Amino acid sequence: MNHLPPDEVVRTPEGLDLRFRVATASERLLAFGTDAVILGLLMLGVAFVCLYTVGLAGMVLWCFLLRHGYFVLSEIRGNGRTIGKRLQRLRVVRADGGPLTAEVLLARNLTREIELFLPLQLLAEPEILVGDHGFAVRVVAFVWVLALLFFPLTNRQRLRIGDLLAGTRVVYAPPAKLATDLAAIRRPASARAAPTQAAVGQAADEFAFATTHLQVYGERELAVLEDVLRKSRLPGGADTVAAVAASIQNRIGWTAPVPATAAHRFLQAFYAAQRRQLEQQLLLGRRKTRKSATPRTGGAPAPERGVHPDGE
Amino acid sequence: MSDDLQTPWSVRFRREREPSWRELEELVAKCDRHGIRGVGPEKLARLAVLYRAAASSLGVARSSVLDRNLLEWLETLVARAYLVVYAPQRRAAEVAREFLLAGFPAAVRSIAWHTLAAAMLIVLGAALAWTMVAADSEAFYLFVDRALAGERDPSATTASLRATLFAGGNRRNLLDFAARLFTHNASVSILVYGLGFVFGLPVVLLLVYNGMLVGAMSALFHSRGLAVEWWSWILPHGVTELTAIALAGGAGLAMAGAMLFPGRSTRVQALCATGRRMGAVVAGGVVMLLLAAFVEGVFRQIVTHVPSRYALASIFGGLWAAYFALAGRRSR
Repeated sequence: MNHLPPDEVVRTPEGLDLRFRVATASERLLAFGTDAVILGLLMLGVAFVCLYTVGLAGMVLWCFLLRHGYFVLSEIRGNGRTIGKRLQRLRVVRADGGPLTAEVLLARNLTREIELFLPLQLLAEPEILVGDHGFAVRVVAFVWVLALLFFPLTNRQRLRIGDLLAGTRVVYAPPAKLATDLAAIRRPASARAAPTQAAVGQAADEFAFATTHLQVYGERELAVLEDVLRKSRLPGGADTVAAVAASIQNRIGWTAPVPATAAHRFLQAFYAAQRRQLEQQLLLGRRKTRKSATPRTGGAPAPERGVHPDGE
Repeated sequence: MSDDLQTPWSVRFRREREPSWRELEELVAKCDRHGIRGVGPEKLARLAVLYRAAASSLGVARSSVLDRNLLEWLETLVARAYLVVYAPQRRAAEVAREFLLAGFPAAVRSIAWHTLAAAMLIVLGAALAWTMVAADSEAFYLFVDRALAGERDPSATTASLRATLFAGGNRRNLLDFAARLFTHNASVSILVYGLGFVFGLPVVLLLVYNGMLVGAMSALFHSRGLAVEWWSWILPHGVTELTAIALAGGAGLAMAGAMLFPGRSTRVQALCATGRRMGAVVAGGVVMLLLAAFVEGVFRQIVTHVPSRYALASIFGGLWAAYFALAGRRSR
C-alpha cells in the first residue's frame, strides 16, 4: 500500500474531509494514451474532411482548435473526466473542494502545450526549436523540455504543471460495492428476549462471549477479522478461517470445544461480539486501536481511522 | 426495532439508513451516465437532500462505526455524490457569454500593469531592431528569417515591396496564410502563459523577439518611404493581434510575479490563484487572435483604400480600449 501516492484530502463546503486516492503515473499515462489516440483520429478525420471541402486554412484552424479544445471541452462536459479518464476510473477534482469551473479546467489544460506538445515536437524535429545552435544550447533545451515532461514524477501527488497552476488533482475513484453486514445475524426471538449481562454477544445461541473474552483485541484486529471472513469463500479461505479461529480461541482463553465445522460460525459470532463491544466503548469515548493498547478514556482522541492527519 | 443488545450498534445504524443511501447511489450513477442535465430538477433537489444526509451519516460512521466495508463504501458514495452536487450546472453558452462580457475584461484589468510592461517589451524589441536595421539594412536578417520574409526583404525593389501591401492575391493562399499565422500566434500566446511558470525569462525573450520582427519590417518599409502604406497594412489586424500578444505576455509576467513574489501565501498558492485567472486571459487572447486573423485574411484584402484601413484600425483600437476599460464593471 505504501508504494501508492498519498491520499488527497478534499474539504467539502460542508466541512467534511473526503479522501481520494491520487492517481498513479501509469494510470494517468494510460488515460492520456487513450485520449491521445482518440484526439489523433479526430484530427485525422477533420483534416481529411477539411481538405476536401474548405481547404488548408480550415484544416489548420480546426486542428488547432481540436488540439487545445479536446481536453478542456471533454473535461467540462464529463465534470472532470475525459474518455480516457473514464476508462481508467480517474477524474479531476479541485484540491480546495470548489466546483470544477471552465476557468479551472482551462488553466490545467493550456499548459499541455509546454508539457507535452513542445517536448514531443522537440523529439520529433529537434531543429525546429534549437535550430542551428551549438551543442550546449541543444543539451540545455533537451534537459529543460524533458524536465517539464517528467515533472509529475518529481512530486508525490503526481501533479502536472497544469495541475499545479489550476490547483487540481487527478484521483482514482472507482465505484465501491456494499457487501452484506457480517454482524447482522438473524437469531430466534427467544435469544432476544432474555439477554444477560455476561453474554455480550451471542450469535445463533451457540457462542456466548464474556466481557473478558472481548478485551483482548482492538480495531485493527477487527479489521483483519472482517477481511478473513469476507474472503472465506475464496480458495484457501476456509483454511485461514480455521487457523484464525484456533489462534483466537487460544488467545482469548476460550475453553469450550469448537468443532472444525463450526469454525466459521465461531469467527462470525466473535466478530459480531467484538465489534459490538468496541463500538460500545467508542460511544463512551474509549477507543482501542490495537491489541497491545489498553482502552483510553477522554483526552485527545486517537487519529480517526484512515484519515491522515498530514493530509494537505 | 427493539434494541438488540446482542448486535453491534452499527447494524441498526445501517439498517435504518441504507434505503436512502441506495437511492442516492442510483441518482449519482444516473447523473454520471447522462450528465446533470439528463436528470430532472426534482431529482436534483432530492439528490442534494440525500447527499447531505449521507454526508452526516459518514461523519457519524467515521467516529463510531467499525464495519470497514460499510465505511469505505460510504466514503466512496459521499465522494461521488459530492462531485455531482458541486459540479457547475451552467450551460456552456451562458458561461461563454459571462466570460466575454465580464470575466475576460475584468481579468485583463487585474493585470493592466503587467500588460503594459509586456507592451513596453515589444516596443523595446521593435526599437532595437529598428535602429539596427536603419543603420545597416543587412541587419534585417538578424531578426527575420529569410524563408519567412519571402519577398519582403531588403533586396526587393520598392515597387515590389509596395505591391505586397496591396496585393489582392489568391484568396485561398491568403486564407491559408492567415490560418497559419493565427495558429502560430495562438501557440505562442499559450506558450508564453505556460512559460511564465519558469520565472518569466522566456516570456521576456519571446516578447522582445516578436517586437524585433515588427521593428525590422517597419524599418525596411520606412526606409523606402512606404511608412503610411505599411502601417495601413499592419494596423487593421495588428491592433488586435499585438494587443492579444501583449495580454499573453502580461499573463506570463503575472505568473512569473506570483512565482517570484508570492507575498503572504506560499508559492504554490500564489501560482494557483494567478494561474486560473491567467488561463482565462490567454483563452480570451486566442479569441482575439482568431478575430485578427479573420481581419487579415478576409477584410484587409478587400479594403485597399489607405484611409479606410486607418479608419478600420482606429475603430478596432477604440473598441478594444472601451471594452477592456468598461465591460463587466459592477454598477454601483
